[in-house]
Amino acid sequence: MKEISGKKPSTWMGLKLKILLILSVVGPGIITGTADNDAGGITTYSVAGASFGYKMLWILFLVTFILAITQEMGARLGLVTGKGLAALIRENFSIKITSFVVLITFLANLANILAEYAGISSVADIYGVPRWIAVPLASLSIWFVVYKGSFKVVQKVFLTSSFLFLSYVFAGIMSKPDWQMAFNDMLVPSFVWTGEYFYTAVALIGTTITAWGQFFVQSYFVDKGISSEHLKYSRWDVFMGAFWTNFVAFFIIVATAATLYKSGIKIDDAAQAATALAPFAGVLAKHLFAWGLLNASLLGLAVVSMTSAYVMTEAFGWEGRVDLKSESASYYGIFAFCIFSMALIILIPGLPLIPILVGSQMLNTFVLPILFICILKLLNNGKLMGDKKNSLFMNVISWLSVIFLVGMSLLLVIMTLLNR
Amino acid sequence: MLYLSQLLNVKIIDSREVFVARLKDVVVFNDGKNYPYVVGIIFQKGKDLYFIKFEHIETLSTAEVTLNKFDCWSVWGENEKFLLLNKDVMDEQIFDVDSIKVVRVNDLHLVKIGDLFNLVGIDVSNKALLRRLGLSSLPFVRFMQVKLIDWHSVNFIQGNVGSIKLKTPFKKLEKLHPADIANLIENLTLHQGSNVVQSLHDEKAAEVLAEIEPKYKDTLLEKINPRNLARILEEMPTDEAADVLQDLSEHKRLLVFKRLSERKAKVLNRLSKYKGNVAGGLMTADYMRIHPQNTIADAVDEIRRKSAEHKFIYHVFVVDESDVLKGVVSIRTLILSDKHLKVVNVMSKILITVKTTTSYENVARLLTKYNLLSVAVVDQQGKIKGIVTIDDVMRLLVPHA
Repeated sequence: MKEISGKKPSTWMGLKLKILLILSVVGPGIITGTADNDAGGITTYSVAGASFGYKMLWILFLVTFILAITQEMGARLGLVTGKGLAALIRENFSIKITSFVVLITFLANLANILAEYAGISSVADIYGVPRWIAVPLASLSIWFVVYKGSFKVVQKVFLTSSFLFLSYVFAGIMSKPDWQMAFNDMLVPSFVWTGEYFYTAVALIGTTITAWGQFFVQSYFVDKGISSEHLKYSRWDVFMGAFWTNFVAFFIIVATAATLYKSGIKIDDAAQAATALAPFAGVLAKHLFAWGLLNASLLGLAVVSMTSAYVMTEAFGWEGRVDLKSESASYYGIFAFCIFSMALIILIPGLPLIPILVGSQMLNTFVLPILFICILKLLNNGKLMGDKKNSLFMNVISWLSVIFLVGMSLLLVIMTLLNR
Repeated sequence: MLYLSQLLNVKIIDSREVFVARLKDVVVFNDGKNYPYVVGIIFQKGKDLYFIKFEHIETLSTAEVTLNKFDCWSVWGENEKFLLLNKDVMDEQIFDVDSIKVVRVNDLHLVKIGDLFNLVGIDVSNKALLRRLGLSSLPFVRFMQVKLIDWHSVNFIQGNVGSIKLKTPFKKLEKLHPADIANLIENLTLHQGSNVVQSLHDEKAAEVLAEIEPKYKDTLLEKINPRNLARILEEMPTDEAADVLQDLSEHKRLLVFKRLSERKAKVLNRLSKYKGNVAGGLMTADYMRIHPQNTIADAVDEIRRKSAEHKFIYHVFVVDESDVLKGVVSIRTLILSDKHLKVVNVMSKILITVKTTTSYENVARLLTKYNLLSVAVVDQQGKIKGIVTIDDVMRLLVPHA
């Protein structure tokens, strides 16, 4: 330990303290943002780029702001109240709303976990590793890190994973995109008047802003133990997280747009994108894409399972914490159930994955409106939030985002139903 | 047997058989000693809440509430003396100080004793959850058990958001063993945990912090306000205080350090030079010392005077003017010896000491070999630096107790 001095810090010390403070606060925002780029997200971005070129970038640009707003709301609720979202809903609304939101989120999460395993399996396929080896290996290693590691260890693993997403940035650059066109399409909205375009656009929003993401960001900020005086820094952390998340997404779309879209190659998932990329952008780009997908799936697997456990225990009073084992048997029980049961299911041959994923998106659509209305009501509760409650400006922005989100996802449900 | 959930939304009928409204909340008076009893009910009309006194209630049942008058209500204003069961207690987190757990209130159990309805306990079972979801008729619910916690074992959690800002400051928590309080705190969010720590007496808080799992401790400490933390550190044995300081972020450490008393700050600064799991890092400056030429009576007086600040009084270390360790005398010897004798005549001169760099395993070996409770840490000149006590070594040997 360094010598402690009781002297008053000089200006330089003051600056140093400030930097230390920022560093100690940074993390949750980046992690929770990046976690939204899970296997489902990567797939959506890859498909969006391959099918529509750069034409979906402006939606991504828009989503960045919505993500920043929704994440900030979650972070602020967590920091000020010191409680998870499920607990707050339980204490301030009815038990019926709580049960509904929590159980639907739990089901949607299970489907999400399946999607993460599907991502892991398809990377395993690329490298010829049998699925029955890759899947159990992935679930055991995630279980090990979360069960054995302290909060700090888990956070370090997550942060490392968040920066590994850089692989997509490299892959994007290697595919030599038309930068001018990309930036142009990012800032100027362009439409393709087909159902598929609309469908993909909504999916892009839906994989980025999710019910579990909202629960996760709040719980993570509660557990990180930052005091609400540091809200300012946390806010920047969240904004940086939202930026980084969609910065990565930008390069994924650009990579497939510059290669697959140009040559008219259609793909269905991210692993296909990786393989199809090789002839255009080189073998390294393929590897970067594949490893990026593996990384995203593993992070998503950990985060979605942890969130499920958080939400269930908190809502029903089986409280537990990430860093305590003996006291929180139910937390780790639910966590293990999510991870291992879905690992078994993904190994079933001929599993109809697409309907499951669509179903999960629909469930998400049912929960999101209720969830955001609860969040906004909580943020406007002066008793709860004190001087950190929503300003009129924030209310207008957040209601607009929520209405936009809900409208888009409702349309998605209608379209899916009409297609059948 | 009556549950709050069964009363909520029940129709209120006045003496003219006219429907008034549906029941929104039940108000109890709580003196902190006896079971709280129902003093009235609340209903809502428009935006306002109205209160009906218990004396106007003819029957209170799960079917309906009937009144013996009409127009017998008044507008309800916030009242610090009373608890609203639905608003303040239902769905909140509480401590169960009996089984030492953090639980969430799923339902409240009311019992009619004489003319009064008393709140006797809290139902924390999953059966209560299903009851409130209207799923009691499911076949398996019959086989589930309710889990009631006696009201006397219930302790609200300090600083919880919601309206219980300790109108009724329950002190049940303070009576628990520090290790048990620590366990409870580990089950809370950091925000709640730090509030609970800061609500305890400084001395108790110091004892509790010493018992908290290291992994949880560093984040918890960051949440505690520097002024309070400095006060708690003053009450802590120096070795533990030094550990706490070491766990803090640099920023927080400076803030806390500025608020410490000069004496404490000096000792802690000295101890903080040594690191980790060696004798130097484990040692404390809280030990009894006496000059060899003092009498037994002086030594006993010294123990009496200092016992409040030094936990470890079983051995007195005999030290000369230049801090050189000369011997050790046990409290047993002090009590059994003639009080006019000089310390130098009764002390044990066999010096068993360690260096600041001795590993904790070796300290443990030494303690075991010579059946000691503590061992002095000395430098090359034989000057005493501090002592390592057996409990600090045990903590490292058996980490998760």
